[in-house]
Amino acid sequence: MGTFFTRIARYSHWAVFLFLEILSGVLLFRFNHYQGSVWFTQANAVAGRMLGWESKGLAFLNLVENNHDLTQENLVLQYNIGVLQEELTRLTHDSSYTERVQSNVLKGKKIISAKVITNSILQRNNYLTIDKGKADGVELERGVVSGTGIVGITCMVSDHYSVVLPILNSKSNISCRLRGTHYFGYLKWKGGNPLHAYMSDVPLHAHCRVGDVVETSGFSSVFPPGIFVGKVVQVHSADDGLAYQLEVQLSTDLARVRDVCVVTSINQAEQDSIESQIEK
Amino acid sequence: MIQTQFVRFLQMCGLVLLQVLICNHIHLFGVATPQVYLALLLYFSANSSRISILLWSFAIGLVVDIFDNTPGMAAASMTFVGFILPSLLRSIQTKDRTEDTRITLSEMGLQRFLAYVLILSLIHCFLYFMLEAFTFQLSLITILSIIGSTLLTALFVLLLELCRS
Repeated sequence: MGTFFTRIARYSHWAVFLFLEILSGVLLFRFNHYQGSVWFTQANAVAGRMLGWESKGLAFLNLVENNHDLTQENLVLQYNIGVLQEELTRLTHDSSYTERVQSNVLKGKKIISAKVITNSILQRNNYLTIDKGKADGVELERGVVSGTGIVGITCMVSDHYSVVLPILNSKSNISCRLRGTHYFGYLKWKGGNPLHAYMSDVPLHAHCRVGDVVETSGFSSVFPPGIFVGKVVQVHSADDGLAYQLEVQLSTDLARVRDVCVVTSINQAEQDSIESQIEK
Repeated sequence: MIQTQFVRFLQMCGLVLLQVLICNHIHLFGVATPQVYLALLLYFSANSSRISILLWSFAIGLVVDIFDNTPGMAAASMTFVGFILPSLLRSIQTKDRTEDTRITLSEMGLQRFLAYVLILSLIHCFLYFMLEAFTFQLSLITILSIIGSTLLTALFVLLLELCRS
């Protein structure tokens, strides 16, 4: 015990030394602005680094939970995007030129909206079935259009269903014209790409260009004039060298058409009867 | 014992007055200031209590700091010098001398006395100016201050010693 205390006593000046130095340090940092600020900022830098390490470590430990949260958030956001995009397409479509033209064109016409219930696009002769028939006012040889353009012509009508002969059928033959110049021709589909059809019989002096708009001519009385059909994507000349053969990009993607309208002019029956009299 | 401490107190007062009234106004070339209060350490002998050396050197440092408006700087460096003083004393003393030898010019001879004072003032000035700069990057002004003040301090302590003896 005695040696213990002597040893402590022998080193007591260390304690005094440390105490006095710490005291000096406190005075130095407490009362000297410059040293105090340096100490403060350096201490801060150390503290900042330590806290940075800590937060990194914690973030790593929380990754599983974060991932879970993010996945859920993604789900919600994806859903919202879907809803908003639908809304956006609806709104922008409403104000588009085609739509405005169509609403003008369809004035004074009787419109029966219908839903497509069966559809095909891959065969040479495709048919569509819609869920409206005679009971709803649908008759034979009436034009069927969708929001984006023409779809086809009714070719069979039962009480509650109708079969539509769409553009994508080799028997389909629709009278069209070029918007603006009003040169007309016939739209036919040659199979293959369901978005491309050909317009023939346009005279060479029509000077048509890629990008010209093709719309219904109204000659056949099935479609009112001015309904959007598509745009010219390539200009060929026909085999006889007297007319154009225009490759048309159809505006309606029949692969995903869902809501359509059957267009009937109010006096359609009268027109039909007078035409049939002439034929007699 | 009390007498010794009283004498020590008077010595301290004298050195503080000397430092505050005269030496603090000397800024040779803008870098060298004599730290003459260091001379207090010369009045301790090898068998003085380590604790008393520490306390006295801290005290004089603190008083100078108060007058100099540099709280803690002189106190810290003087405390450190006081801490290593006994070891330095023991290493410098030769064996044939008695333990109680004082550090005086007459007893040590000019060369050894000067070397001793230079070592003490170098340590003190180094610490003092490093604390003042408070960075590990030695700037030219800090180095010049350390060297200049060390030399000037040694000179002043030598002069004081000459006056005393």
